[in-house]
Amino acid sequence: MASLPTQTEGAPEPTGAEHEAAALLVAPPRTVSFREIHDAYYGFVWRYAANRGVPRMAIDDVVQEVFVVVHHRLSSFEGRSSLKTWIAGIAYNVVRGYGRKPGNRSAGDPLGDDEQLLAPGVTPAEALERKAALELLDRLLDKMTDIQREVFILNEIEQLSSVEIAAALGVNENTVRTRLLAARKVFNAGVARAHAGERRGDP
Amino acid sequence: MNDDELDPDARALVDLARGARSPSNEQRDRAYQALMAGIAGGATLGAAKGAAAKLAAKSSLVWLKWAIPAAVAASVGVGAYVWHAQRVVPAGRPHPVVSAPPPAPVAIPAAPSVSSAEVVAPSAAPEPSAAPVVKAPTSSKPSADDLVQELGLLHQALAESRSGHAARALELARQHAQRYPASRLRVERDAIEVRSLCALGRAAEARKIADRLRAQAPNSPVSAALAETCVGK
Repeated sequence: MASLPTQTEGAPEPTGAEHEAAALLVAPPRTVSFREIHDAYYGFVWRYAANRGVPRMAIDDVVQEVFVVVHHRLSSFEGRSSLKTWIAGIAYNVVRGYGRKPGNRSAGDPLGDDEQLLAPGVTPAEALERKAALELLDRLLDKMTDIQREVFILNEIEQLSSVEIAAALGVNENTVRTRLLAARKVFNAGVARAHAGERRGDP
Repeated sequence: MNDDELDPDARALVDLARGARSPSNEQRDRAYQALMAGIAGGATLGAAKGAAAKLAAKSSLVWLKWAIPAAVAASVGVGAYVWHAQRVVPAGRPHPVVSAPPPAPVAIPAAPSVSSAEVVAPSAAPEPSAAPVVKAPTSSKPSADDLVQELGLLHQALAESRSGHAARALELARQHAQRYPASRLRVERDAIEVRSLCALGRAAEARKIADRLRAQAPNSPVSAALAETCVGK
């Protein structure tokens, strides 16, 4: 990737393949500042940490730790992968390190998304809908294995390609593809069940 | 059901959740300020006067991650800081001891079309799985090993405090006080003790330590950070 994406928070980003295609079109190297990188990828890292189950009270610290590493190592970034892939790899390791610390959140604890749910302009009805969506998302992510959850978040939520995910996680591309298929199966089935329950009037 | 892609309902759920779990631009800007203040504050502990440094100091205990290694680097050398930095940066990679300003803009080269085998995955070293064993220093001048152990104890206390385990954090901070009574990190240690005591509802004890701390280091961001605890201003 040669250029930073134009990222609108909350809107789906272009896929990894689109990034790569854009990179090839934008041939000349581009100089970017740390601030630009931080601003472009803050949302990605924040969401990734939240979806990986880092509790709200610790997300800011975890995200900051990711960008500290980015800050320290940016000068050594060689552009052999996309910037997003590189940052995803760092985020993966930092979040994994967080989860391994004794006393840190176990899967299934409430995340506490109040600040996002009650953002300006969000009506109470929309807030309820968003809350329900997040709860269902978390429930279904909890049903996945660690690697399934990882590839699902990076692919379906953060729009990284299988190649990018393989590079970020340091695993085989085929492993990513098979785990992604399994994760989608879990997710599709879970959503179908939830909607069927809604139609039956289950609580 | 086609598992090559999400069903429409599942896709809609993901899109809705993604939007609902995205931070605002204000959050992002606050985080950037805190990040840069933390980096700058860590490099100039004791002399940090900028508003940004105070902002970071007040926002959370994040500042301690920077204050502790900076204090050590300023007083006895860089070894202990390197140890700290290696918690998240792979060993063998050079990195600056002090890095207050953001790095200079870098040229991001046009990425060639590479195979997955060519892509180098970054790998931040995970945290040490166990806290270092602490022993009392044997000489009046602390060695690098002693400092590593001392830092380990303080980091452990900080981690307990951040995890909400105030009693354990207090115990570790007092253990540190007992083993390293003349530590150069006593201000940071006392701050952990104050926060822990506040969390335990022992405000009178917390105030006593806070008063001493403020007298010792009136201009430090550590003292400023206490404004948000039970001891207030």
